[in-house]
Amino acid sequence: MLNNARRGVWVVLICLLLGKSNALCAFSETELEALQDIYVTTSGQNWVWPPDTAGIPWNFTGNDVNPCLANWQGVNCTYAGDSCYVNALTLRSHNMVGPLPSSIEQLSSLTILDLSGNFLSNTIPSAVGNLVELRLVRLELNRLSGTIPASLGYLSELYEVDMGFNSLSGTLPDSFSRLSALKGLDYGINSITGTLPTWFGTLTQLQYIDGEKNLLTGTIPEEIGQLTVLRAIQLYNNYLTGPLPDIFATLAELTSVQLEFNGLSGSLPPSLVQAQSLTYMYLFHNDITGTLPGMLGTMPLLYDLQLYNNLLSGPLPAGLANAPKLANIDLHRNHLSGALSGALQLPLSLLDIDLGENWLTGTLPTSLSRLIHLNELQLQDNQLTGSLDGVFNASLLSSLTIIQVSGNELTGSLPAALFQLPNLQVFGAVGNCFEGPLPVTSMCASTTLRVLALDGLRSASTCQRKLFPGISSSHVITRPFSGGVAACLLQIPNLITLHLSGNGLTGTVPNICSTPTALPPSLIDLSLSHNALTGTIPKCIQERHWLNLDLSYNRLTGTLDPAFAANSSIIDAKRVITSTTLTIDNNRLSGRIPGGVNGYENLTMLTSNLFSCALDKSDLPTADKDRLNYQCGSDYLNLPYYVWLALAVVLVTVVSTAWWGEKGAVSNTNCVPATWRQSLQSAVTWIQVGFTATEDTRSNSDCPGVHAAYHAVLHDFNKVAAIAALCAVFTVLVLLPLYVGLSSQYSTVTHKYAWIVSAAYLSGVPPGVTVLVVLLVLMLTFLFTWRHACAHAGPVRGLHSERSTSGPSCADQQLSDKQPTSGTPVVRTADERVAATTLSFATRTAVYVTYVAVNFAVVAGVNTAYVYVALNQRGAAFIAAQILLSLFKLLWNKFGGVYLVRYVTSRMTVYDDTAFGRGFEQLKVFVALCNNIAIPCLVVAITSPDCFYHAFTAAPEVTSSYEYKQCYTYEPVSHGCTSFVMKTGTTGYSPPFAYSYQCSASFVTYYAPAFLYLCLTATFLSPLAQGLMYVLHRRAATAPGSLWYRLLNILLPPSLKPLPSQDSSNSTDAPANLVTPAHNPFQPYFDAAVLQVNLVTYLALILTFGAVFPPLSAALVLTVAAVLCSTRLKIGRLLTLSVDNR
Amino acid sequence: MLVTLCCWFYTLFLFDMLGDAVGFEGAYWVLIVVPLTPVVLYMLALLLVHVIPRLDGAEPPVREASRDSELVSVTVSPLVQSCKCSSDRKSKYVLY
Repeated sequence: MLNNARRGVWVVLICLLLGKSNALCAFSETELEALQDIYVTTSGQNWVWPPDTAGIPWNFTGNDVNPCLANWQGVNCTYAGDSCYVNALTLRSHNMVGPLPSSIEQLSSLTILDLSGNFLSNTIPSAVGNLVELRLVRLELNRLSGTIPASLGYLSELYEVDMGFNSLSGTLPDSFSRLSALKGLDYGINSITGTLPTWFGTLTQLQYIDGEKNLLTGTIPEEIGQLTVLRAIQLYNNYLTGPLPDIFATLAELTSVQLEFNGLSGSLPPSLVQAQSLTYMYLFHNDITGTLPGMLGTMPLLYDLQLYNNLLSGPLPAGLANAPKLANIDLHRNHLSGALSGALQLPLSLLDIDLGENWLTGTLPTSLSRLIHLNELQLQDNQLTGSLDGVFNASLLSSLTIIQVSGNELTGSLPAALFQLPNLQVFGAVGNCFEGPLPVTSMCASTTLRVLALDGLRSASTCQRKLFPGISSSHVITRPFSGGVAACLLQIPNLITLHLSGNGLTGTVPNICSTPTALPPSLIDLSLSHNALTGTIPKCIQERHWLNLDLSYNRLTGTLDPAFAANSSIIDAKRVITSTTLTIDNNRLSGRIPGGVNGYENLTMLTSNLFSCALDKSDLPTADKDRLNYQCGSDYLNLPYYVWLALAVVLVTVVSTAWWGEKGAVSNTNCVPATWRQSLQSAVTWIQVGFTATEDTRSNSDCPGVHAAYHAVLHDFNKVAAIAALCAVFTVLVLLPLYVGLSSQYSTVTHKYAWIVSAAYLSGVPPGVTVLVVLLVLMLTFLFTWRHACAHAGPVRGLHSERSTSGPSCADQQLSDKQPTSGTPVVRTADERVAATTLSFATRTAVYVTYVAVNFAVVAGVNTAYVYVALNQRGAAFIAAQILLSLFKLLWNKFGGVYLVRYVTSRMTVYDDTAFGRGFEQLKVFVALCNNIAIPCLVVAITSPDCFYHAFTAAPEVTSSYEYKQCYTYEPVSHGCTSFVMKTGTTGYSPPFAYSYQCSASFVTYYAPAFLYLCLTATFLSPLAQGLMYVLHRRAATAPGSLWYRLLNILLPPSLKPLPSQDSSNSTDAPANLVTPAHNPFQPYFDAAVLQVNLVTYLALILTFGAVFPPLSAALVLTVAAVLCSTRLKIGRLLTLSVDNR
Repeated sequence: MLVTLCCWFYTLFLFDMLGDAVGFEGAYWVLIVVPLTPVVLYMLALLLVHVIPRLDGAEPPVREASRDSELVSVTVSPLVQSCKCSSDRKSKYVLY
């Protein structure tokens, strides 16, 4: 072979000299055709020809093409006589695209085939196995697929096969067991399946096995122990299982074991420590159990020990200290236990220690400072206790750049000496039990600090003060770090990341924007969330485009600058790739949202802030997940209030016109149709029924009891309405201007929108005291007028005096028949109640409890659903929920609760709720107040994040991450770092519960719109619908059998249905449908108790929600008037008709 | 009942106003004092209604509960029921 090569060189030289190369070296036509096939099938016209590679591009034009003599790139030749043959084809990264042709077998002298780094596709032709002289095959970094041809196993000369980084599948052919000369086998990063073959043991020359990132399964065969010259085994990222075989005693030359990311189990084999050449041991991300053998310290060359993310337990062996070369020990995410202080007898050669995420206890020993080469110390997420005082000696630990002690239970203050370490770049102490104050002076003096992660310094579970122990894991911060955020911390010259969240910091965000360069350009990650910071966000912080800016869960006020995030030049090109994050939710920001915020990919800014937006919300940031269910300013209130205002004006105009018209000129003119005039007069007459007891009683002598009692009820209800009006006037004339005045000085938000006329978002002692006094005056006024009304309830008593002497009423007479024969109203008397009043205590209690329980369950459920929608659903759903809630309130108050009472009572005894006495009436009022005020408030208080939701349900752990440079390789002697890798540190802590003092505001913002819809429905919609049905029902009465009539008959309240004359009930001609329904406890004409409960509820709403939001009391008092008026109209009509019938 | 409910309702508003400015330590008294205010208010109202008219020489309001209690055959106003002046009345007004 060597002779042939020398001859070849001479031939080439002679050829070059004589210019007759073809004549001196004949190139085989078949080989030329094979080369041409390769050229054609792999898109030779597109090959790239690296200029630094010897040789010229291939060229098949001409008659006498001779690749050897032409010195084609990548073609090495061998010479035999006058002929020359290709013996090496080396075309690395030549952009070969396409399949490798089978005709390659024509290159019969080929010993080296290196086509790595191309785009070869399809399968490896089995014809390659015919190249019997082949010694080296390199086809890695291509797109080859299919199986590895078994024919390769017959190439007895083959000493290296490299087919890594393709898409090969199938198993490793058994024929490879014949490759006795094989020294290197690389089939990594493919899809090779099957197990590791036992015949590996026959490949005694094998020095390395690279089979990483395949689909290999099964166990590691013990036969590998027979490979005495094996230096490296790389089988990481497979599905290997079972224990590590105890084979290492014979692998004397083994320097590298890379079996990470498998499912290996069992303990570390004892023979492992006998691999005296072992330098790199990578067994991380497996399921290895047991303890670390102390004999690891006897391994003379062990340099890098990475066993993290396994199930190792027990203490760190003291013997590790004897490992003379050990520089990196990474055992994080195991179950190591024991005291760290004893375990830290580590070798002095150590550069990196990562013992994070274990169960190590004890304190950090002061002897740590003897590790003078230490570059990185990662001890996060253990159970370390004690103080850091004296642990870090700045003069000894001059190389220390990274310290991570997050997630421990360390106590005491952060020592100033820590920040005097000359090369400290990263310090993380998130989630410990540290106390203040922070060593701000030494922190700010550091010029090397890059990352300062000090979130939740006192939030470890062992030092949390639980709010509700045993119920919730929510906690409050104790001994918060006083002094606020020091301005100089934001000015540390090279600082990249500053995290100080969850420390209860008070004061303002330092305004360091006096000079343009005050904020160092390196600072791109700032987190001050979950503190109690007040004031505004400084302009220069707003204008910077941060990699991460988290100011959420504070009490920051003001508006956002129009130039928000405009300064994007700060983030260098490398970091722009990383998504940027802005989190400023749960503050008190208001005003318009600048467009600059859309520059952030991850955005959370809306929740609990009071930003305004366009009606279609088009200007809200699209990246914010709360965008669709966000209530901008007071938009959800504005629309229904404008509608109410317009309808109120129309209603007042119409009613006053009608009233004065009926009284005055209109009735005497012909400009109004006669039917209208007649209807108007009837309506006025009906309304006036029961106005004066004496007249009614006398004039309606046929049925004096009904009219007198109705008068008494009406009198009382009028008083309620008068009190409601008085309270509403007080709120509008006194409270409303007061709120406006206070809002200008003491508001927690800059822009309050419609809430400017409310007690929401007020803060300060003066408004607190003023509002307290005024509300007390309101209460006193209410109490006085209420008691005054009760004390002078003369007509009611007069009625009874008169009734007692008037003999049996018509009602009594009719009742004695038990079966009313006409539609005439009946007053039920105590005669009928005699039996019911003897109800047992148990029955009464059962009714009470059932009624209250069912009612509360339904109402609380509906309100919870409403708040859930308010918190989580989009805008349209929220508006729908408000309307549905108002309808529910209306219907439940009017029917649901009433029927519930009657149903429960009727199931337990003969229906008669009066049998339960006065207490039951009070209970119903109590339930109504709970339904409409107490339960909504409780639901909001419990479910709203602005209130106490996170007091009952602990806020989710706050995780944050930061990037830092970690040394990847060290210079062996000086231990200087020669290359770096960017790492991401992730920390988490449980944020403390901090009440925002905005809960009361959410009562108003959540429920004011809902109550307004209630007013709209009760004031306008319900009477209008009833009036419409009344008219339609009368018209439909001409065809009483029609479906339309039957439907209306069901829907129309009984009090609006026509009454038949007394005679007609006996008349065979009277239509059956016109007969008033018989006595039905579930369908009364008029239930004064229901109206009473409703009026008291409206009054209560005026005194509560109306008092803190006066516009609502104006709406509510109109509703009271409307309800009372419509009731009088209906009942007046009923009584008038009944008298007429009689 | 109404006054008690209102005072409890106002409590949180007043606590928020004060607490936001002076912290929990400076505002916790609101959580105690304001809910108990109805007792004071009720006493004050009693004073206004009963004592002051006497001082003016006016007749105190007549409580006719005993007379009402004899009139068991008549329904009465629920509003009056909720007032102390009609404590012995026991039914409500229903039109059937």
